[in-house]
Amino acid sequence: MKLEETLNISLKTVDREIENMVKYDRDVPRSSQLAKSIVELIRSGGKRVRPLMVIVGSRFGPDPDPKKVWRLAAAAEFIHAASLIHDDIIDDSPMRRGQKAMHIKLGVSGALHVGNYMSARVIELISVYSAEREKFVYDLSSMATTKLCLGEYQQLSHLFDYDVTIPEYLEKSKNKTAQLMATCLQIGAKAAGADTETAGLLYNFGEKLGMSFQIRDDVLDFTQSAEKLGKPAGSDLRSGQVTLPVLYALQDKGLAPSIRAITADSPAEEVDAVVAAIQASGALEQTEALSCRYLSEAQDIIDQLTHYPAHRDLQALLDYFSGREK
Amino acid sequence: MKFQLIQDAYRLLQGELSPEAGIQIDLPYEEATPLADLLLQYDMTPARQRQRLSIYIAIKLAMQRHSECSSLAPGEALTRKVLDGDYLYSFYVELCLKWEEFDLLVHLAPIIKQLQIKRVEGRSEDERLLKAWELFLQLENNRSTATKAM
Repeated sequence: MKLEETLNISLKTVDREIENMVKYDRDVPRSSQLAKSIVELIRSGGKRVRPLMVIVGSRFGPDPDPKKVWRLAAAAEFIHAASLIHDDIIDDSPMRRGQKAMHIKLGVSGALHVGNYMSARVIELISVYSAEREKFVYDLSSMATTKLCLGEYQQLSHLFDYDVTIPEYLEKSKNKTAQLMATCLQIGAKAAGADTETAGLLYNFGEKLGMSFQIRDDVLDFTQSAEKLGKPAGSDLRSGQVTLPVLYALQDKGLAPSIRAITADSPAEEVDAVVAAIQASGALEQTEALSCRYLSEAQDIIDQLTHYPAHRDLQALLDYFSGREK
Repeated sequence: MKFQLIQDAYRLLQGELSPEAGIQIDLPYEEATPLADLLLQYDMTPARQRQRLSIYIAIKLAMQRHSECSSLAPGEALTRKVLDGDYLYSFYVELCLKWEEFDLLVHLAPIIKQLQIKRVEGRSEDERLLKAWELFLQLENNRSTATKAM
């Protein structure tokens, strides 16, 4: 069964709400390239994990305001999609969800500003309820993406840096991936009037799922076939990203010198050999174990929330994340 | 006085930015001058003038960074420009919240969105940002004058 079915959330409704973010913007003619580009991007697919998390979060509050919850859910996807558009420019990725990436269609400047529009639209929509000052401040700070950017800066400043520590790697992953997932659950819960303790537990749960997700992603970069990845295995290392499998492999004194020798100028055969050595080193199992530890800590949080019927939805999210393809 | 205000605002913003971002505020002073002139015409504390000018500089810098991207090939320089713009567009919101400039944020949010729409269309109407500030300061002043008169 698909995640959205288990959670009993209509993905069609989620998608409609996301499209409405641009369709009901009076400043954007429906026939404009901007509107068309965003609608095309939304219709190209996506799992909508973040909006689903907002809606699940709202099930932990006594007073869900459906209109607001759906709007926040759509906003979370807008923020995520905007970051993907900019990621594709940075990574020079030509494709996204089987279609030409936005910067290939519109050029770098056009794509950049489509992403900026999406982020600015979220700020504008949340600003509308500025009279509820406390919620307004909380929601706006939650949707601010400075942390996400800091994660990107941290990644950039540590390219081919083999002295980066595991805590630094984890901090980067938290900023880049886990924080938005954590925020999605918490913002949904707060919109529904959940108490502070529950909202906090949901934040921690989301953060642990996000950490597990990012770490698993780093493993997949080594384990999935080139065909499935759309790029050669070990692409992160090739582009200078020192991810957790590499950090664990660096603890192997026999392997460390060959890893440290990899630079931006290393020939592909040399990197292939190091990638194969990392695959055979046990580092991937160590990485996988840490990912599982985060999931196990997330499970402990579910166990603290069993008095809410919606704890089953958290379980569905956890099962979904733990079942991602290895 | 104006020069001092601009200098103080640059220093304030630089201190607020995360060192991890490594952003150097290289916006020419002339870009900040029109708002500095405006702010000095209104009755507000020097601290508030500095904060408001810092917010304006953050937005101007975000716009500048992103407008420089189209001429760059993929690589670290492009990545930094994209990230700087993203960070600054988000950071101005955080500054507004931190300094409790809620009305200003509500006023600016649609304008900043409209500037992005124009830029997607390949047209730059960046001068609207200054006009939006001008209007905000006028409205705020009118409100404050009306309150005092009551």
